Parts: sequence; C-alpha cells; structure tokens
Amino acid sequence: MEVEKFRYDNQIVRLFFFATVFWGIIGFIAGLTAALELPFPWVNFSAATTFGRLRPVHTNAVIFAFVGNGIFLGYYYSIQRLLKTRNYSDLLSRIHFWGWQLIIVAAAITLFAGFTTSKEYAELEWPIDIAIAVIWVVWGWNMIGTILRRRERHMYVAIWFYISTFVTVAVLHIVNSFEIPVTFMKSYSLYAGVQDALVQWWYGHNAVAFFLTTPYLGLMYYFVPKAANRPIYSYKLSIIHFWALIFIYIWAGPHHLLYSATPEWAQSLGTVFSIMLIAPSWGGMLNGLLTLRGAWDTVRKDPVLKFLVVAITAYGMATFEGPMLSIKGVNALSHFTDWTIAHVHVGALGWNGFLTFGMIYWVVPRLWKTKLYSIKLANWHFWIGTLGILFYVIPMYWSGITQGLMWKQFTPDGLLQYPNFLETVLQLIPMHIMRAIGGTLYIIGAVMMIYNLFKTARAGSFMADEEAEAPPLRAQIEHDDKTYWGHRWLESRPIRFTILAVVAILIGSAIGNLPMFVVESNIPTIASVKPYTPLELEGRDIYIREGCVGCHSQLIRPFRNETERYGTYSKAGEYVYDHPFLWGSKRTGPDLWRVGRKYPDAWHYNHMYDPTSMSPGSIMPPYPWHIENDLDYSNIEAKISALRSIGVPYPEGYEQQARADLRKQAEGIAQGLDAAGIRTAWNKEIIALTAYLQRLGTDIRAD
Amino acid sequence: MFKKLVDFSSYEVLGIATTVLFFIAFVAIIIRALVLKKSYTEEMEQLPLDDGTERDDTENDHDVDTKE
Repeated sequence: MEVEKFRYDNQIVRLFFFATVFWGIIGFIAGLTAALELPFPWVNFSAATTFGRLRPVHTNAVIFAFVGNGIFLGYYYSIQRLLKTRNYSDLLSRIHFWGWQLIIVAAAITLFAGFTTSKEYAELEWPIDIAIAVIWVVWGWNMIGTILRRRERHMYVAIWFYISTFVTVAVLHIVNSFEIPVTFMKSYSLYAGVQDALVQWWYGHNAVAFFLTTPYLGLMYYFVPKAANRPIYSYKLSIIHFWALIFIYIWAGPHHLLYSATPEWAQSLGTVFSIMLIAPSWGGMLNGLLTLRGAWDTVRKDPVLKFLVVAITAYGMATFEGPMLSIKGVNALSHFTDWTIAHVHVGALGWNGFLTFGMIYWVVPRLWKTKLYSIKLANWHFWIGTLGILFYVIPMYWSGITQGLMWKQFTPDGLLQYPNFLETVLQLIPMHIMRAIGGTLYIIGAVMMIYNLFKTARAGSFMADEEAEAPPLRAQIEHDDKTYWGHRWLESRPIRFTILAVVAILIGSAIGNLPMFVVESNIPTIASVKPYTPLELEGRDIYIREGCVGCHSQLIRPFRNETERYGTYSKAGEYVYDHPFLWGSKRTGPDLWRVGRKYPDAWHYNHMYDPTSMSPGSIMPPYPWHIENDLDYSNIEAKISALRSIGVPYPEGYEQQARADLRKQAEGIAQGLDAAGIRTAWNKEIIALTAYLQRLGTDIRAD
Repeated sequence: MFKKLVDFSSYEVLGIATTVLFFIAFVAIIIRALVLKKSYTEEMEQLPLDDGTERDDTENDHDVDTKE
C-alpha cells in the first residue's frame, strides 16, 4: 500500500507544556495566598491583593491558564497522532499559543487592578472577552483544518470531545459576555437580575462541563489507553458517554440557583438533569477505569497510571457529588458554604490536576526521547499530592457542614442559636489553616515534578519534529467503502458531526433560557423598585471592583433561619435593574441584601476603615483606601446612558442632572457623618459605597 | 422578537417537549451504538495505539521495572 511520510509538530506541545507548568504554579500560589488570607487577614496587605481581587485571579489562573494550557498541550499532542497528520497551520498554532498567553497576562493585570465584570469565571472585561473569542476561533480554525487534511478517515472519540469543547465554549462565552461598554475597561451586563443569574450559571456550569470536563475526557480517552498500552474498555460505551453527556450537561445550570429568586420550573429543570448526569458521567469513569482491567499490577509501579487512576476516581466522586448537591434538601445545607469549595477542589486538584500531571509525566520523556529521570520522585509527587488533596478537601467538607448547621440552629425558644454571623466564621479558622497545609503539600508535589522533568529534559534531546508515516486518505476510503459503509455517515463527516453537536447543546440552552426572556410572569415586577441613584451606582461599581461578591451574597433564601437573620427573602422583581446581578455563591461574610438602613452611616465608615472596630474578631480585610480615595465619577453620564440603552428607565436627559444629584446625595451623607463626629469630604469613595450599601434591599420596605 | 417566534405560554408544552426530546435522543444514541460492527469498534479502539511513528506505543516504553 502507498505510504506518505510526514512530521508531527512537537514544538507547539512543548510550548504549551511550559505554559501549563508555569501558570499552574502561579495559580496554585494565588490559591494558597487567598487561603491564608482567611485565617490571617494581614495577608490582605494592599488593595490589589485583597481576597476579593485575588480570588478571581486564582480561579481564572487555574481554570484558563493551568487547565487551559493543559488542554492544548494534550490536544496538540493527540490530535496530530489520531489523525496522522501535522497540524493544519504552524502559524495558527503559534498565534493560538501566544494569543492565549497574552490573554492570561492581561487577565492577571486587570483583575489585580480591579477591572472586573464580577460574573464568576467570566470576570474579564469586554476587550479581553473579544480577544478570547478571536483566539478561540483561531484554535477551532486550526482544529477543523487539521481534521479536514487527515490521513485517518474516522474520528476517534477524543476528537469528538475536542470538537464539542470548541463549539460549546464559543457559544457560552459569546452569549454570557453580551455587555454594553461604558469605557475602555468598564461595561454592564446586557442582562439584569434573575435573567443575568440564569445566563451566568448556564455559562458557569457549562464552563465546568465544557472546559474542565469534556476536553479532559478527550485526553482521558487518548492518554489512558496510551499509558496502559491497551485499548479503551468499550468504544460503544464511549459513544453513549459522549452524546448523553453533551446533551444533558447543558440543561443543568440552574442547580446553582436553587431556592433563589429564579422561577421554580427552572430550578426543577436543573435538578432533574443534574441527577440524570450521573449516568453518562459514571459511564465515562467506568470506561476509563475498566481500561486498566488486567493491568492493575502496572498501576502499582507506574506513577503515570497512578495519577490517571486517581484523576478518574476524583472525576467519579465529583460527578456523583454534583448531582447530590443539586437535590434541594442537600443544597439547602451546602450552598454558600465551604462544601462547594471542597466539591470543586475534588474536581480541580484531583481530576484536572492529576490528569495533567499524569499526562505530562507520559509526554515529556517522549518529547525529549528519553526516560523519566526518577520514577521514585514521581511516586513521591503522587503520594504528597494525594495527601495534599485529602488535607484540602476533608477540612473543607467539615467546615461547610459545620457552618451550614450553625446557620440553621435555633434555640428551644425559637431564636437563632448563633445570631452573630461572625461566630460561625471563627469556628472554621482551624479548618481553613488545615486546607492551607493541604494546598502547600500539593504545591510541593508540583515543584518536585518540575525538578524531575527538568532533569529528564536535560538528559534527553528534544525532538522538534517527529517522523511518521501513514497511507493517504484515499486508500482508506476504498477500504472503508467496502467494509463500513454505514459508519461513514457521522464519524467520518467532521462538519456534519460538528453541526449535530451544536444542535445537541443548543436544544437545552434554548429551553433552559428562552422562557426567562419571553414570559413576563417569570419576573413579577414590583412598582416600588427604582433604579439606583448616580451615587449608589458609583458605589455599586466600587463594590464590583473590589470583588465584594466573592464573600458576600445578596440573596436571601426563603428559609426560617435566613429571614430571621437577614430579613424577608429576596424577590425576583427586586433585581430588575441589577446589571450585573450580584447574588454571589459563597458567604464568607454575611448576606448583604437587607443591610440597607440596618446600621448608621458611621458604622459603615468605621467598619470599612477597620472591620474589627465594629465586629471584634472580623476576618474581613480593612479598606482604609476607600476613605482616602477621591470618588471618580467622571463617567457617570456615560453610565446612565449605557444603562438606559439596556432598559433601566432613567428619564431622557437625566445625564445632565446626574452630577448634581450625585453631589447633593453625597453632601447629605457627609453632613450626617459630620454630625456623628466623622469629618470627611463628600467626594470620597466611602461616601458612594455607603450610599449603595444603605440602599440594598430597601425598595420594598414599608417605612 | 422571540415572543413572535416561540410560544411559551404553557409550561406543560415545555415539559412534554423536554421529555420527548430526551427520550428520542437517548433511543437514537443507543441504537447508534448497538448497530456498530465489532470489527469497526475494534479498529477504532486501536487508533490511539497506532500513531504511525517508529516508536508507536504498541510497544510500551515505560520501562517502569528497570527503574525501580
């Protein structure tokens, strides 16, 4: 048979390997620092490094920089070999690599500087959103091009997962990033309140699904057979796994919004589809693990397989726990607590982290044509990393359940057992210290890996282009036409396949989201709810800038303990002017939705200057710069115009009135503070922030 | 605009549509998987193991034993 010779591009794999390891360490250290800020608030030493700004740096670094580069590392290695061709374009590969790294750098700088949309895992502002879309398309273009010039007619299941990742993340990113720009680095979400929440968690949930899961399943389906040197357990199961997973996953987003102000039907939809997700997820897990049947003796010795086995097991645990957390009874206890943090770290540290490490230990010796420098050191990495995961997640489960139960505890007289929220926080400090130890162990393991791989690379010689040969596609077509005429319909038709995958994810997206936009009864309006004043709007933007949403929710669930602690539960109609919504997903501090007019202005002034002065023992970082910083309201006219254009009913021409109104309200607050013995100018950030906090949740109060 | 295109006036329709779609999708997926020829799935399973290089990993080179 005629055979063609060609070369695989290993340089792009090496570049993504360097980036994965580099950003991994940065992301882990950012996480460790954030973890230390809770038990030791002095670690929040500057505006840029407060928990509120550092947390999104950590999450973005780990998701998009560490895991993102890990995806591309494994993708570029595997797709060339599965399709028996070099990448479509080396130039596109390089643009993809450097573009992605530039986006990461821009993300780090802007998040530290306080430029954020506040939407979780979508915090980056609109110019970076556009750059992400462009670079993502470059990757997809290169992928489709590679598929079209392949020498292997059939697309292996890993490639299906890559295709679905590309198309779905594109759809999610674009739809969730619709925002109206105000300035170069400031925008408002096109959606408001409940609608924004639903779109955001459709995105957020499926970012987990299609960024942290499907591409890594593709890697699993490639690297587990490679490392175990045996075929996947069941190819038929992989087909069911793929289609069932992508079809069901997309519906499950509203499970992030249980007991919220979203309509019941959406919450039920989220619960039902989340529970169904166990089936395909565990099908995939079993397919991975059963591939090793008959090879378990090798797992005992081989660190690569050890990492892969724990990764797949962590996937199984996280995908069992996820559906459980989507049951309302469980969610009532777990939501807003460290339980969620434990859950996501089983996925991040176990599934993504360990699969990346296993893959790297397997790939690097092959790129440098040598053997791994030290199997023993890799085994040490495995054990210290596993211990790190356990030291991280067990205290976090303990912490989450403890706090959840403390919030709900009543005395026999029907009063809250722990009415002071801070008491429930201080109870968790030992657990927070233990998880920081777990994180440290995990980082030590990763550093050992870097040393091991450095020595490996030093001992070998890098193979930039790897020679390969395969028959041309036309020879296979002749063979296939005789043998598998029925199977060409889908698995060897990449464009048709891609369209079908898009249809599968669009069905759930449409049914899950569209009714929120077309059925008015989903968001009952409340006549007394009015848009924010210009000063409150500026205060809200400071709240967004500082990432307050990382620790404070603005959503009171309809539970006796929550209405007792915070006030009446949140209604959908209260949020209709919230672009973006700020419900949050974690209560390290108390909910703030009914904080308006709960304390005098002077309390907020003193609390922001030094939280412990008002709440002794508070772990909230002090924000003295809000007291010193002048309020920048130079864009207030543009903000009013932008918000009006997306439906906030500011009267026509109100832009001309906004500055005067802002000043009048600010002077009123400054005078009130003066009467309380606090002298401050009206044009300070603290005044705007106070105005916003005092407005929260007050529109429906009778007084 | 959507209001003109889609009538979501009754959630019952939504529930029925969801169930029917889900059912059809799953039956289709399972039929698709079941009708595949064994020789085809075996060929697919071998794809990652044969990458056309000299050192394709039909011959595993972990050499774990020699290192320990």
